[in-house]
Amino acid sequence: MVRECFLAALLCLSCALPAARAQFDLLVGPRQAPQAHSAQELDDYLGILEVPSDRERVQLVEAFAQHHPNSELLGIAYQYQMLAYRGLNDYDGVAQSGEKALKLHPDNLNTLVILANTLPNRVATGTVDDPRLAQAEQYARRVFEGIERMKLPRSVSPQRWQELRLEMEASAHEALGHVATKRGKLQEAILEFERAVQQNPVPQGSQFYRLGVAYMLAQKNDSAREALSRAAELGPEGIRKMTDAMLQKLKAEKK
Amino acid sequence: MKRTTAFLLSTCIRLFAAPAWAEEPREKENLPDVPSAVLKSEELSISGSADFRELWSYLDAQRWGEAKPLAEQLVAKHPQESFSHFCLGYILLRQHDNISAIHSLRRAERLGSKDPALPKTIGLAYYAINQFLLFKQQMRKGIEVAPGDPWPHYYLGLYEATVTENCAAALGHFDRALALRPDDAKMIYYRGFCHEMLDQRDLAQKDYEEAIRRLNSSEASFSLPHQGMARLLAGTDSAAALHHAELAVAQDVSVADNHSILAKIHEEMGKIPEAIRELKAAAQADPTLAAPHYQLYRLLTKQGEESAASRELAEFQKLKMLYGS
Repeated sequence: MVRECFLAALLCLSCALPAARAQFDLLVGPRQAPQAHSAQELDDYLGILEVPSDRERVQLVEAFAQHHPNSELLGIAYQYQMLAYRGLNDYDGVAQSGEKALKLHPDNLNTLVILANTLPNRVATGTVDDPRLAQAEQYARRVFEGIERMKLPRSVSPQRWQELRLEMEASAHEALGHVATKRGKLQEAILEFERAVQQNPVPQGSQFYRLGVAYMLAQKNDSAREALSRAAELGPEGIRKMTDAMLQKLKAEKK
Repeated sequence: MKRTTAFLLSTCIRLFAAPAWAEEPREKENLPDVPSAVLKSEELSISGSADFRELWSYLDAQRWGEAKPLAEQLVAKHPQESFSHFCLGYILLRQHDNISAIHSLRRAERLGSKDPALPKTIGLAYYAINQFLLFKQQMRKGIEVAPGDPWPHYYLGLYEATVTENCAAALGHFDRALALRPDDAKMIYYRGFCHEMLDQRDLAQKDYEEAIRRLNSSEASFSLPHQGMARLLAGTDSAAALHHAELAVAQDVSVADNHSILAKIHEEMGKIPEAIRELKAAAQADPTLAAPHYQLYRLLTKQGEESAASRELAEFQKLKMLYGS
């Protein structure tokens, strides 16, 4: 039951990544910024950023790719599509648009983090050799490597970078924990989720939730209760609902 | 030096405005080319309205926060009038809402605005989001429609000096801008800066001196010509270099390079504690700069302050890794 709830919850989990805040790419300096070659191309791109619904955003990115197949902005457009698919809880959409984004910007940390966290979602727990887990693990490790190599534009202060870095590393640890959970390596999963929650300067309900569930699976119910309570505090609402269900389950088991 | 100058240039080209300027009226910003449509709107059918007169007074006072809702009302009342969109786009740009500004300015363009100030305004909006190809296209268009306007040349010069770091190309643009506006102290300074980058030190000095003369007579505050003079004179005339470096810092304490050059001159004159103080000010003014930390490491080591020196070395290494220099 716990496992089923955990699996059901995974697609709903979302983390507040820097990508969602950047119009072009926060970590790209002016000289490296992808360039639109026509005003219409830029108008179409900006339309993607401003459209209110995820569904429309997905469609606008498709149209953009069709009209501007060689656009330097296409890689970021696919990132937006990936985020929109995530908003729609569309696993295949996230995976496909993420892969397209990575093809154009192989080292983009936001894409790597999101794919690393998403790919394990459809893998059954206890599976060891599913290629999606290996892929997710590789992406998460590339996040750590990419962070080490990162050259920053001066618009990002060292303090801001430190926060962003910790957030991204926390998300990569979360992804590794997720992969470990699927492989049935609970101790490893707990360790990674603990790193994620300890490191993240912006505590995420989803990370505490995953940690709580991992504790539950490892029969560490007191720790599970503590982590889940923190997840419930942090929210958002979807996490709160899932957390409540887990806490009820723990309560029932205690009786 | 080049990096901080580049930063300043870039700040300049981003319409010279600190965010707070959107909120409160301040002295005239360093943007003398407020689009002529805004200032010469009597040609437009809507210009006689009371709404417009109020809007105009806010624009004139650069009170963007108060001007914006009025411009929005103007757009709602006159959606087919390109001027209303241009006006709103301009205000949005001054408020650093660049993407909304682009939408409004493009709408003005699509509605057939023939205002010669529109291309350079759209160009600046593109620049603000690092869309340099479109920026250049618009500036060229601006030159075509208003051949007597120096500003598109000036902006292209700033772009070449900061983004491509092609000072030879920048020099050509500044020369053209100055041919149209020979008295502008900043244009003179930036031409001098390009000369300096191209190792034409005599020409650079001539321009810096000329820029300082013009600034003195206008009482405007702009520290870079003094910084440039300090750079040129350091090593040959320490007393004069010191004088200029101190003036540069006095005029703008927020420019890291003003402190760095003053530190260098203090060190040359054997005033190590003063040099250390200025290097710390430079590091504080721009926390992404690695170089002041290395200089601090060097001077603190000389002073026998080993642990403070090693902290500076570690900071230097960290910043060099992150930002490259």
